[in-house]
Formats: sequence, C-alpha cells, structure tokens
Amino acid sequence: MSAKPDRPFDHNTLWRKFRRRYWMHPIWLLPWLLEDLAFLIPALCMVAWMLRDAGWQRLGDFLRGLWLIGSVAGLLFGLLSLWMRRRYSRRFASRPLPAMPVLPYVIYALTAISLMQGRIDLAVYATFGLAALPKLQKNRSTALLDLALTGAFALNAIWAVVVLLALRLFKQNQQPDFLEIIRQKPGRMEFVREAREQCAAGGG
Amino acid sequence: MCQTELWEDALIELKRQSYSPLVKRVQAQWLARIYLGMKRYEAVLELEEQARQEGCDIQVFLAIAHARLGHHTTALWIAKETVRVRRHGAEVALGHVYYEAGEYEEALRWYERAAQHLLDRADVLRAMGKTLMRIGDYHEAASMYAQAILVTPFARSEDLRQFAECLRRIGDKHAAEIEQIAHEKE
Repeated sequence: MSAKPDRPFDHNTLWRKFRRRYWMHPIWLLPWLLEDLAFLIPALCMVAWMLRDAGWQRLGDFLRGLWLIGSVAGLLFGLLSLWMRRRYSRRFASRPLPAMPVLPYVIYALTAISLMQGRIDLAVYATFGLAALPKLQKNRSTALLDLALTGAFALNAIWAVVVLLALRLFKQNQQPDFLEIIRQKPGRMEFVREAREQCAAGGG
Repeated sequence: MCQTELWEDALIELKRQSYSPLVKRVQAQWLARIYLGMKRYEAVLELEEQARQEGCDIQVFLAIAHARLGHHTTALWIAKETVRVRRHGAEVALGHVYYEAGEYEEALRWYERAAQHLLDRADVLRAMGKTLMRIGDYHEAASMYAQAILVTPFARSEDLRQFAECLRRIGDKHAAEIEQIAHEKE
C-alpha cells in the first residue's frame, strides 16, 4: 500500500465527484445495471418475438438464451436464500413459508420452463403478468403498467407494447422522493426498540 | 448500540457480556471504540497496555485518540503504520488524523479510499461531508450527507441537521423542511 492514496486530483475534479457519487467504486453501479438488464432482456425479447421477422427472430433466440440464464440464476439464488434463512433464522424457520416472498421464485421457475419449451408468450405472462400481483399493494402504478403491458402483448399491439415498455423503464429509473425516504425511516430510539424486539424474537 | 451511538448503553452491554471468552478477546477493541464515541480519548490511550496483554489490536483507535488530543506526530506515525500493515479502518483513521491536523484535502483522499469498502460506509460518508464543509464545498458536502442518510438504517438527526445546513448555504429551499424532520426524529 502506498503512502499516498491517489493521484493528486483536486477534490472538485469531475472524476473525484463521480467517485464520491457512485459509492467510490464502479462496482456499485452494477446493481443498477443488472436491474435494467433484467428488464431490458425480456422486453427486447418480447418485441423481437412479436415482430416475427427472420432477423429479429435470431436476436430473439439470443435474448431468449440470456433470459433463460437470468431466470435460472434468479431461481437458484432464491432457493439458496430461502434455504439459508430457514436454516439459520429461528424466527423464519418457526413460521410457515409466506406466499408473497416466494412468488418471485415461482415466477422464475415458470419463466425458465416456458423459455426452455420456446414459449416466449407464456414467459411474458409470467414475468410481467404474474409479477404484477405482489406489486399491487405497494407499487400500484408499476403493477398497472405491467398489467397493461401484458394486455397489449395479448392483443399483439406492438406499438402499445413499445410505448408501455419505455414508460416502464422510465418508471424503474425514476428516483424516489428523498424527503419521503427520510420521513419513512425510524428515529434512533425507534430503530433500537425494533432491533431489540427482533433480537427477543430470535431473528436478530 | 455502537451503530446507534448509544455509547453508555453499549458500555453496559459490553460489561454484561464480558464473561464470554469470545467477547473478552476483543474487549479492548470495543472499549476503545466506545470511549472514542464518548470522546474519552485519554481512556483510549490507557487501553494500550491492556490490549497488548490480550493480543488485541487497537492501533487504529489509538491513532484517532492521539489526533483528537492534538498529538499529531504520534497519531500520524501510528495511522501510517496501520495503513502499511492493512488494518481494518486504517484508511479512515489516517483521514481523521489529517482532518484533525487541518489537512482537509489529504483527509478527503483517505476518506474516499476508505469508502471503497463496504463496512462502516455511513461513518466515512459523514466524515467526508464534514471535511467538505470545512473546505467550503457545501454542494459536495450536501451530496455526501444525503448518501450517509440513505445508507443509515435510521434517520440520524445530526446528519439531517448538517445536511440542512449545507442546503441552507447553497440556497436550497428544502433546508427548513429537512431541519423540521430532524427535529421530529430526535
């Protein structure tokens, strides 16, 4: 390790500002990138499938492969995290498996099976239609967009699908209201109380 | 307890658990951290011998304590040594040492380097905000405090106040509202 941390850029240079904004390391950009990719791959695959053109079909097949890899990875990750939580969290293990947290992994499984059989339509219904259900409670506007997207896909209305996909991508990348985030955070003492309750329940 | 900076409670909890051999092995480290939080810097220095006997490394805390007590040369020497042997928290400690010596640009560089790590990120972001305020770059300081607020699991009123202060300095209209939330979350 060198005695000096970095090249002597002024604190106000663009690079230093960028570094400070994005968690000091480009690795922190990865979750955002993955989130957008997880949306864009099925979205483009859906559009390619709807166009039914030889060139688009090839792109669709390539994207179907990526989508399948993503779904299987999501499913494996989900199964592993469920196993870990049941194995190591007493609070989680003592309760029956809740339906809502498990639903995304069921969707991954259904999507993977559909894609393996070449049924992109069924994969779309699972990824955008079924996945909208848990969002209806907390993220209603995104859920409604997903349902509208599924409807437009069922009606084969390609331009409606493209517009809805663009809207959905915009919504996904919209920054939440900072003041609202702060308001929803517990105060210090409330946080301590909740942590103590969790410890007492055996989940901390 | 340490995360929420309830230092008195943390001290009681540590003493309550000191029967455990696992806790005993790192007790000096925890004590040093708690005493630093309580601003009992002399007490941190007094732990040096105990830590040595228990084979527990508290050099990072010693560097910060020396720096806060104004022993800049000693603090700098210890902090550089901890960086050389790659102790956890060494970079942020060196940042603190430079900060206390009034070398804010140098402090900021080390904080930026420390913030690349996953652990204790909120503390580092906060330190960066404080340093940028000293430099007079309130825009950047506000950005650091905003990030610190986001990564802290609870609304830390001190951060909200500092953030509001930065916003006020740059003429942002949300300053009063943030101040109000800080007051509510106290």
